[in-house]
Amino acid sequence: MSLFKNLSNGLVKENPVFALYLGLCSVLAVSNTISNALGMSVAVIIVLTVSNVIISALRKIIPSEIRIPVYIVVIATLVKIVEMLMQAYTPELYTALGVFIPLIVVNCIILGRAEAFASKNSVGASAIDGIGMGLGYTAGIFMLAAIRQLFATGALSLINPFNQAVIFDITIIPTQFTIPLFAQPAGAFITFAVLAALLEVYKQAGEKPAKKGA
Amino acid sequence: MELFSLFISAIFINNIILNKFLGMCPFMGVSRKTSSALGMGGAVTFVIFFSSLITWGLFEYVLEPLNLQYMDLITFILIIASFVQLVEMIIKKYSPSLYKALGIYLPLITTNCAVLFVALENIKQGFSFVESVVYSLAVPIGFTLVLIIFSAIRERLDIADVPKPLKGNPVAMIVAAIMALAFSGLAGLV
Amino acid sequence: MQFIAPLLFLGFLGGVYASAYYLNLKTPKPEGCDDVDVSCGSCSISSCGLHPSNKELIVEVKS
Repeated sequence: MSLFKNLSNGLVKENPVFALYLGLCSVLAVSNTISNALGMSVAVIIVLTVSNVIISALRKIIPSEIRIPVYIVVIATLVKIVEMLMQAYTPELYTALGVFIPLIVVNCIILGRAEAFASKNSVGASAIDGIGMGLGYTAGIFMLAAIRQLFATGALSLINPFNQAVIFDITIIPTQFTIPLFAQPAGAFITFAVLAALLEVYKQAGEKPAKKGA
Repeated sequence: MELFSLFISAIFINNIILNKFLGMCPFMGVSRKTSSALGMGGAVTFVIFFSSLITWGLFEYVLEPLNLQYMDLITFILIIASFVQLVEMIIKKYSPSLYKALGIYLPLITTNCAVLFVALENIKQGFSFVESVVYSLAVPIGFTLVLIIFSAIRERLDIADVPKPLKGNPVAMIVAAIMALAFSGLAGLV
Repeated sequence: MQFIAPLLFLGFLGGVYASAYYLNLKTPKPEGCDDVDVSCGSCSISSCGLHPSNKELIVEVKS
C-alpha cells in the first residue's frame, strides 16, 4: 500500500472510532472540551506510533506464541512513561484527563494495530500506519468534542496545556440557547450515534456510484 | 452507612457504562442476546472482584513498602492478564459446562477498561480493604445490570424497522443515551 | 541499583504472564464451544485467545 493510502485508510474507511468502534471508552469520556480531546489524541498518537515502531522492529525476535504478553508489556511501559511526562509538564491536562491516560493501555486500537499491522510489516510502514490511525482517532474525537463543547457551553476554546495560555476562545452561541445535555453522558452517546450514522451514509454514497458504473 | 451508599452509588449513580463510559467494547459486541449478556456479566464480576483484591493487596504490601508506586499500571495489567489466563485454564480443565457458560468471554475481559479502572480506582480513592471489596463487587454488578437491560432491548431492536444508516451500533448508542438519562435521574438517591 | 529492582519485578511479572498465556494456549478447549468466534470477532480484539487469527496455535479436542 502506498504511503498516502496507508494514511487515508486510517482516516476515513477504517476510522478506528466511527467505523471500527475501537477505543470507545476514552472517546466518549474525554470529548467534553477540545483541549482535552486534542491532549488525549496527542498521547494516543505518540503511544500508537512508538509502540508500532518497537513491535515492528522486534517482530522477528518475538516467539509467535507469546506475542500478546510482549505487546502488553511494551505498551504498558510506554503509557506509563507518557503518563509521567504529562504529569510533569502538563499537570492541568493530566488532572482533567484523569484515569483515562493509564487506560490507554487497554485501548483496543493500540493492541489491535500492533497485532494486525505492526507484527507483519516493516518499521516505516508501521510508523505511518500508527500515525494514520492516530490521526483518524484525532479526527473522530475532535469532531465529537467540537460539537459537544459548542452546544453545551456555546464557546469553542483551546488552552495551551504547557502554560495554560488561552489560544482562542470564541463564543458562537449565546448562553441562553446552550443545551447542557451535551455535557452529560447522554449527549455524548447521541452525538456519537449521529456521527456514526453520517459516516455510514458517506460510505454508502461512495459505494453506490461505483456499483452503478460496474 | 457509608459502605451501603458506596455500593448503591457504584451500581446506579456512577454506573460504569452509563456514567463513566467504561466497558463499552463488550457492551457493543456481546449484548445481542440476553443469555450471552448474563454470561459476560458473570465472568466480568468474577474477574473484577478477585483481580481487584489481588492488585489492592499487591499495592499495599509490595509496591508501597518498596517505594515502587510508579509500577502500579504495569503491575496491575500484568496481574489482571495472568489471572484471566489462569482462570480460563482452570475452567477449561475442570468444568466444560462452566467454560461454555462463562469461559468464552474471559479473554475479552483482559482488555476491558472496566477491570483496570476498578484496580486503579481502589488505589486512587485510598479505599481500605473492606471498601475495596464493596466497590469491586458493586461496579461489575452495575455493569451486568445495564448489559442485561440493554440486551433485552437490543433483541427487539434487531427486528424493528430502523433507518439504514442507524442500523446496528448507532441506534444502540441512542438507546444507551436514553438509559443514561434514566439512570441519571437516580442521582439524588444517596 | 534503583533500576534493577523494578526491572526484575517487571521481568518476573512478564514471565508469569507469558507462561500463563502459553499454558492456556496449549490447553485444549472442551468440545462443543463453537459460537465463540462471534463474540471475539465483533470486538476486533485480536488479543482474544479465541480470535480466528489464533486458530493455528490452539489445540482442540475432538472426541
